[in-house]
Amino acid sequence: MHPALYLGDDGHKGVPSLLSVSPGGAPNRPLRSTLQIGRHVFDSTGILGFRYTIDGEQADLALPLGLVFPPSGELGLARGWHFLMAWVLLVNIAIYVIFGIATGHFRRNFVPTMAQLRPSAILRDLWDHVRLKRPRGVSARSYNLLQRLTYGLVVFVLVPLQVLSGLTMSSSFGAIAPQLYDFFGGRQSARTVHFVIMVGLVVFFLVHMMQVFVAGVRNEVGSMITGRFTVPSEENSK
Amino acid sequence: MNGPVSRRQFLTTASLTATLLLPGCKKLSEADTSRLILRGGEGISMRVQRLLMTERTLAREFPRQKISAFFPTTGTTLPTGDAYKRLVDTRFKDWKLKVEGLVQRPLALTLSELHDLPGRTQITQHQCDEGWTAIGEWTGVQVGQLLQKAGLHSSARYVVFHCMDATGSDGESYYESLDLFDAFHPQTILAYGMNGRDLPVEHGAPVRLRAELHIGYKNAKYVDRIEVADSLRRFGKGYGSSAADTGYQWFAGM
Repeated sequence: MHPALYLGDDGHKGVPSLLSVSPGGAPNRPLRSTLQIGRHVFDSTGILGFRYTIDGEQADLALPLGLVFPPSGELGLARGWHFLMAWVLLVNIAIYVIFGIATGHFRRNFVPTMAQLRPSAILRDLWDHVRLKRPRGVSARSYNLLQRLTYGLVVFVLVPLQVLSGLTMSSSFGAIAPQLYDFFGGRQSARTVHFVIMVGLVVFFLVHMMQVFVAGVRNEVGSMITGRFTVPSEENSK
Repeated sequence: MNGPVSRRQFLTTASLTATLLLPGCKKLSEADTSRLILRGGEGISMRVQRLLMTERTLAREFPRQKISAFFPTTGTTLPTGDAYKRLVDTRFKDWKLKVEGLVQRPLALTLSELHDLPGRTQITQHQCDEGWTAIGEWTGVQVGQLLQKAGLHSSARYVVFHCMDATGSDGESYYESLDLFDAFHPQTILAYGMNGRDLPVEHGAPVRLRAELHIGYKNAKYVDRIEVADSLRRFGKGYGSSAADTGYQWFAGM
């Protein structure tokens, strides 16, 4: 595996990388690994950068084997699952987008309302968010401004860019749609975009999960599946 | 909120369908099941991509100034054994490329005979499955041209490339294969030249496959025999290539 990110056409040993993880380091200290970000080099021993023997071949992984899929670290199988799940993702997106448009979900819940765009409302929203304050009453039934902007960014910007940057790396899809290569400015740029958005989506997922817990798991998960949302009684807060 | 009923109905139907489908997989072992599922995904990718392309869909070719100063090597960089060493020492004078199997006229061509055939030069990007890329210039003979010269039988479906490097503990020689669409693709060549010089030993001398619609590992090195076949089942473990036999995708257009 090649745990390094580049910009442009070319990316291999000897080409300056934006970010890289290299196990090994100095030859006399084979167990130390390093993380390079731009011109800075950090010691990442034990956190990032591991060297394994997989299928009789030496493999460098950024992450420990327990965090990669499949757990055996076999790249061929990993690629197989990745591309299969890409189809699952595409079918999901298609269904989601069709329903989102048909039911007016995007129009009603993703586009910020005029009331939400008032400066005072924006400030209150941000302040509530920072304090992890739970929405109360009727306002809990609809998405607040930050939710609308975040969901819009994820659904209409990050996920489409993720699909397109992935396709840019495919040898044959790159031939089918050569415009993608120019759009991203090279295969290595597309690969870097793909990686950065992946990290972004993982962070979005984790923060989102945390917020579901803050807002009350039962009601939130129930509403995601059934569409029914119960507004808790306000007695306690008075 | 409108539509919760239809959503609930959808989820009920979906989970019931999933429950009904599951027992069908139970007879297979876990490894077989995942292999089967993954082959299915590979098939979808291949079919969808073929729908979107014609014989003239070409991989990007680059201007000469984009050629990488350094081109990494992977896999075998020097086949073991005296036979290959002798070939290198005699500059492949006695080497021949055989084209056989389901063909009308089997061929055995020397390196200079390959050089005399009309050639194709392409500057393309090699994309390794590990993530690195490098741009190189490849000169060689289109595989389609060789196949036309040999003449295919009507039962021909696949073209198998046998290599001179032995891989794995059983000492079997490395092999790779393409279907006829890929074999006749204009950018599928047997390259004898790289960056304006003879193909170096570490890059697969005397000839290597360049299948530009595919990812790096599909471009087999040290090719010395092309076999036209009707099925891939009798080669190796039956998955179509040495890489596929060890869990990689046979269709490597991703």
